Amino acid sequence: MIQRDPSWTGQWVADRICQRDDVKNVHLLRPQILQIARVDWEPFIAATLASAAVDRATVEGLATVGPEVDIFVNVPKESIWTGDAIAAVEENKAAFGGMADLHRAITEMTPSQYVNPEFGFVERGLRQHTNVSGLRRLYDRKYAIERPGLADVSVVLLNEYELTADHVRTARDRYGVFDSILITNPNGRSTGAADAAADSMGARIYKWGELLGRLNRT
Amino acid sequence: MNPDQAMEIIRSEAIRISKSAPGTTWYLFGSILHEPNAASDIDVLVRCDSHGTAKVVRREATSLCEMTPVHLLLLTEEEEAEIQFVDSEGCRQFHPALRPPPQALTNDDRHPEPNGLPSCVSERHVRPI
Repeated sequence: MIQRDPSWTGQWVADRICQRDDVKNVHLLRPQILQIARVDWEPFIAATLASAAVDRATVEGLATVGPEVDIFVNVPKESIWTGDAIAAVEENKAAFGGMADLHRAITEMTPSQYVNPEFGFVERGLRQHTNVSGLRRLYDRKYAIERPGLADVSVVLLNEYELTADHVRTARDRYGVFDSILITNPNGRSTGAADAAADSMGARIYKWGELLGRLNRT
Repeated sequence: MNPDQAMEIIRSEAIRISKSAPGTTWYLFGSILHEPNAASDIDVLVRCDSHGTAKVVRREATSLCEMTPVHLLLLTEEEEAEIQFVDSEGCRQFHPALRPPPQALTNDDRHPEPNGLPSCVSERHVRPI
């Protein structure tokens, strides 16, 4: 069995981003703390993690070891952030995400203000919906959508090109019960087995326009 | 950890997990095949003979997914037949290891093994030299 030690992540991230043209150099200040110097903008600090479920304690542990962190980067793709962890990131006035998010944040003047465009798009669209009164973030990819006079809708966002039955089952294991899955990949689609798996859980899989329509119904 | 070290872990975990989930074929796809040093993650497809096998793989791969930048895609045979992912994405099988086709053999490959056959080729592939 392999070891659970997140110290490999700092070097892994440094090796990936130092090849970018817009990065001058990367200093590994600690095994999980990087200072990234850029061609066009001020340097910033990234903290790296390897956790299947990032919680508040993990974020706070990294936030206190050294310089002020601008972005927390969890390297494993197959992972979640709890609502508490996201709250801790916000309290530290930082951003969070995975490797793809770090690559995008590097191109922004203020990486600590970075927001994943997938989440930004969905949050903005939902808040503008006439039948949405509030939005609570339960996990990185799970929201409770509050509606005036109607029951909340819980939705999990999955950015898959091919949404499979395993994705649906894994989402249930990671995020608990939900009503809806939103495929956020504009070219995404679900397999027949994925639809059946969602149906067996009492959930439905939607594309963006379909979800907006769902919010108007009981 | 570099991509080679990550791949070493992934291969050994594929071997270990396949003992609990024998009906699986493992592939690489995506940027790791084209730009291994720049790839942010390692896309791994596991084709499974059933949903039950997929559940076993997902459970057994928990540590692998936590300790390497693996992005795991599990497809049943039925789903693969529906979307043809292996062909459309140019997936490359790494476990079980593929045997090279007979025309790729060199004279060095044909050194006889104890059973009279090169280790990399099955009997039905042997042509008269």
